[in-house]
Amino acid sequence: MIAPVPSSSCSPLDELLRAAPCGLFAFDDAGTLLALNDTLLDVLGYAREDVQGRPVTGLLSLASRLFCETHVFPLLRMQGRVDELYLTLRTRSGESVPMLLNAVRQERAEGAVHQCAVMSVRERGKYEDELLKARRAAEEALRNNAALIQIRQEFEEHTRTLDHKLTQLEQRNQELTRVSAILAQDLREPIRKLSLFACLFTREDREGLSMTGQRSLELIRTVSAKLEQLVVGLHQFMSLDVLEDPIEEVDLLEAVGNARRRVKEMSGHPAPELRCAALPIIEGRRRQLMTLFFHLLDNAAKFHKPGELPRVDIECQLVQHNSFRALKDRYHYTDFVKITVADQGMGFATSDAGYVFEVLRKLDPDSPGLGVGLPICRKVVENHHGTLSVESEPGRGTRFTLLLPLKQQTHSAA
Amino acid sequence: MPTTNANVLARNNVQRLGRGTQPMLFAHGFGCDQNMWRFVTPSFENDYRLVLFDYVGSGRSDLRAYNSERYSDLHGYAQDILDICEALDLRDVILVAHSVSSMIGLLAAIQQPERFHRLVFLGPSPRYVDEPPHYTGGFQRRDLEELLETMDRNYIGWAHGLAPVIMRNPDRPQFTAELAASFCSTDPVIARRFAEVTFFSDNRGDLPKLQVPSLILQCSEDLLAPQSVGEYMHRHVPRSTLKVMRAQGHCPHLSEPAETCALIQDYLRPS
Repeated sequence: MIAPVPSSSCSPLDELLRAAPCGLFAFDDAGTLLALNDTLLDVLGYAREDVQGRPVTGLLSLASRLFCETHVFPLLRMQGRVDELYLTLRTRSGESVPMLLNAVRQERAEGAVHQCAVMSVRERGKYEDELLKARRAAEEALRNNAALIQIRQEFEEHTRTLDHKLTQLEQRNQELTRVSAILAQDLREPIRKLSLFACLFTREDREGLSMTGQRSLELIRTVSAKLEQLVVGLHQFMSLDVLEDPIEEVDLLEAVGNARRRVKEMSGHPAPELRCAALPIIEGRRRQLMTLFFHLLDNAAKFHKPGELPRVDIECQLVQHNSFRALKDRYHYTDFVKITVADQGMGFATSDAGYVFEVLRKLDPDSPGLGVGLPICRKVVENHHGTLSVESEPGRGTRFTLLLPLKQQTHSAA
Repeated sequence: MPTTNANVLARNNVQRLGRGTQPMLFAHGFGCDQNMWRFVTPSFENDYRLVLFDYVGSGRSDLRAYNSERYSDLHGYAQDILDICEALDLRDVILVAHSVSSMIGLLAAIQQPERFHRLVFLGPSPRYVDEPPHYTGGFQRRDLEELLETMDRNYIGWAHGLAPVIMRNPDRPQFTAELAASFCSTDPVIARRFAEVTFFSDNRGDLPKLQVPSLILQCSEDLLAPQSVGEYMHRHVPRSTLKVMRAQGHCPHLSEPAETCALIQDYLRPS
């Protein structure tokens, strides 16, 4: 389209702005188009009254409007100008025109004004397309190459470490199986006999003994009973490493219900009153997860405040979490269930939070139980690639936080 | 390199100001950095302990800490927020989050609700792409792919526009040359990946999980987050308050800082 012949009333400068071989326009802080020159109207196919006084974003493609909102407008406000930005304008007929934009912001008494110049870069755009394509290919190649070299090095290192660890693990597993067998039979049998023979003393036999003898006999009985329990507890703890339970879909609500019934049957304490949120079905080892909740509930049943019934609140939330736990700089976000098990029992000082998960470590040697419950809990959670933490305050209660993945990794070490 | 507290502060270019005790953490949106908050922070300096930062890959953060695996998921960015909270031992935090940071902050607060007192979302959207028939995010996938192309063009060889520039604005002396030199400077490859994870994430399923009370500041005429999206957020985020602003566009903290501050102060005022 050819611009009309200039009228003689225009100054040469006005004429230059009106018909300059680039588009010129201005918009205010609210984004309203204040003015635009004939060249721009021609390029876009608009009449002045179609666009003047309307939003400047109407001239842009949607992608370019997005880019303006997130980059250009903030830059203009913070920096006062932008140079050589690539934008796509939209003609009246919907065609895209690639343009380069320069703009400056001028603060005026009546409000800020943005003065802009755009120049079509259709031909240049093709050249840039090629450049971009080449750059992407180069980046891709570089990335693959660097990534491959790194992966190969890591792989070799990992293979060596893995081999070493597997050897160790196998040996350790044999030892554990042996220790577990010792705990289950060799050690338990003599202890059981000790208990048994101590019980064989009839009342008459005992009456024949001195006071010291009677007391010693009584002590032998209590100590051997305790020893037997201890061996049972240790065996339970060790067997979590040795036995290979299958991974299956476990309804956690069912696991909690079973655990509560078992607390009632086994401990002789009143079963804790339970307020339990809806729990999901997750992949895991059924027996182990049941044991986990058994010990958590049992703990609450044992350490409730004197004169109060034990009460446990179980809350649940699905979260996404990094499934890498030990490796630094590795990230894989997957679904976990975060379960908190809170009681209002006796609690303990936070400084002891590390101890409670250690085997046979008891904060109060006179308290009931063996000191294997919480270590078992932690082992179960670890076997499921999760985490277990505890917060507590004396007199206020204890809150365990479990993080268990919804799905277990399918590959397992052979 | 182990992530120690000092590392985190340097890594995320953490800046602290203000004379209060309760922490107020400002999380910038996509396309910019912590300088975006400069018109807003003066209103809170007297009453709060202000913490500003740049996400890894933005502003003056340590680009060497960029991990493409971690930051290909908004959870990786949420970890930046949680790392900073832990490094400074922040509790009872008021998080003010712009644009994509709203979802990043939401994910952080779902993971550690005990750390946060209130969340303030500026122009949030849980999903930019339309999901017919029930959800209108405002964009077709094709529109957003074109945006990525536009970004690529503007980052060719780092040459134009968005590369660091020296301030040429003598009538605003508070913008020092040093600040200006860093403003919005971002590595092009990282910026593109951030755009991808921003615009193609879908966090609609996370909205009901937020337990911390929140304020949704909805601009009028925001291309990126239309009013229907703000209303969707409000319907699905428990304990949320929705305020529709007079401010137009996507950056009310730049265009209408006074209104933005007043609404946040109103919301935080004990009733």
